[in-house]
Amino acid sequence: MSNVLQPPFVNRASGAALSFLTVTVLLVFITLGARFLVETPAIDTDRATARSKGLSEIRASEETALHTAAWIDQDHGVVRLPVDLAIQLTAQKWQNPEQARAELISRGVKAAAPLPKTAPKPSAFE
Amino acid sequence: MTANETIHPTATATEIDASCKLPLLALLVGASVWLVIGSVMAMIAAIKFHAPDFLGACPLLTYGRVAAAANDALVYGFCLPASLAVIIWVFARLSQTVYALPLVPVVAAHIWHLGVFVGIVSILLGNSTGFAWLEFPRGGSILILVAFVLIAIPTAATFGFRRDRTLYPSHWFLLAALLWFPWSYASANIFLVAMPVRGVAQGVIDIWFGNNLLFVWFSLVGLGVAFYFLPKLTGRPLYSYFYAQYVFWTLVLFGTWCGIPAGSPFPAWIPALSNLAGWLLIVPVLGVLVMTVKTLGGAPVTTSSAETLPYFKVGLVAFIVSGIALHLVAHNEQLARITEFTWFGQAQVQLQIFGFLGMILFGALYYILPRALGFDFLFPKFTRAHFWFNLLGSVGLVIPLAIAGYAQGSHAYNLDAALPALRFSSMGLLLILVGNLFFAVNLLAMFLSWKITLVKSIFSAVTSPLTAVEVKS
Repeated sequence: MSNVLQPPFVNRASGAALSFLTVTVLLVFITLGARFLVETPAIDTDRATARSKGLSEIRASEETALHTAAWIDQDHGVVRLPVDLAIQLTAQKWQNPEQARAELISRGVKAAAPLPKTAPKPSAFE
Repeated sequence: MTANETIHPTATATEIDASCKLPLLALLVGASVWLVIGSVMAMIAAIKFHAPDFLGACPLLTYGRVAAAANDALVYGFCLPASLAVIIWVFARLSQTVYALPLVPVVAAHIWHLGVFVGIVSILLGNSTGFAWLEFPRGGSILILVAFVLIAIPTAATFGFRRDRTLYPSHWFLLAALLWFPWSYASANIFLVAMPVRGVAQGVIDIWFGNNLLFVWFSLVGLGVAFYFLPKLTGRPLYSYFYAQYVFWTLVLFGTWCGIPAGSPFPAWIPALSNLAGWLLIVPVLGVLVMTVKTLGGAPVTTSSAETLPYFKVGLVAFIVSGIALHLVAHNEQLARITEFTWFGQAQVQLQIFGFLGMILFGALYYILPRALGFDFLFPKFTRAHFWFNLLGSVGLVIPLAIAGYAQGSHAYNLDAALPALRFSSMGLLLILVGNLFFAVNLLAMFLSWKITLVKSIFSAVTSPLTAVEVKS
């Protein structure tokens, strides 16, 4: 009797070996899938995100303040000028220091002057 | 003669054993060397409790490195390859066929031992990953994983070759063990070493892996092997198929969740679930107890079983004690609070390594090796001596460690309270070391004897005069 194994048994053995390999690879892939699909943020991610957002907001408001014109106090006539224009105007005005100093003081007085009292709005319930 | 026999003749026991010879030797010679190295390193670590300055000037042998290296050498160097060797032989015998592709495990065994060497050297050089039972860095762990899969593939093929298509209980346990290790080891390495997850999850995964290796995997292998050998050695059928099925499913279901101490700094549901699983673990433990008593009770001791049967008896008792300890800790919260994070856990680990799996593997190997190599051990008295040294050593190691753990937990984790018992445990370790030396000497002498016989037969074949027929041809 020959000891050579016949095809049905070779197939069963190959099937068992392949099944083992497939299950092992499958389990490893499931683990890898779990590792990649379930995203866990790194430590202090929330804090880093909040700080980064705050910084970008500060930078944006600084950018606006430096390069755009706007009313600071319309009642006292105080305006904000773009910084380039402000430098240019200052350099121009201070060609005559005495006049520039006098204008600066008068602008300061005007900005600090109390506003005229307006009549209070009547209450809707009176 | 049936149709089945005409296409697939049953191999004789001698043919089956001969087909397993090379894989067994390739795995076991290295395993015996790692067993001795691991025991020596464990002894060095234990001596540091008596003399803290012992080898203190050598950074390679500081306690943190040498203790981790000892544990890994014993588990990955001895327990796993020896288990694989026994699984190879048991599968071939159960299939009643020669082992398929025997050269693949021979190559894989060398890769395995290279992986262990890389891992142990890395730990001693201070390159451990820092995770308990996963200390090997990537190089070592990848080699081990590849080697395990390479050994498992032809073993699965041998399983596919089996003549009798009915599955024996050992099949379930050992086949599950073949799948369990690559899955848990790869998963733990992916989540902790290759692509580490965040803080708390790391601790949970590490404890999960340690429990799956030391309790679930060891139990699958130990019980699978014991259920094969008990009927063989006692001449009685295993009691019973249904109990074995019950033990298998409950062990797999509850065992995998255990091991997380109640006071662990994890979300409360995790230790609570682990505690519940530990509580339910009494089910498979009682199942094993009933099976052991019913199969072994009153069985006559024959000359063929006198040497090896005691190893299985002690191994099964150790498993039951270990399971009951896990159950008690889960059942009694006060005890759990005292023993958690103390030497008590180490006592249970050593009971699993030396008392349970070690004993069953030694018993199986003392049965298998003379049959596989075709001649008896050169020092038969060492077999009996090894049993007593291992038994007394295990008792002398585990009980003092458990007492040390309890004392440590009762005195606010003060190590001074545990020190007397810890020092006493080194005596147990010393006995185990001597016993392991008996085993290694016996196995290496057997290997050398086989090698010398092989060389002599090759030499005589080369130098023998040609026969008349050969001269004519």
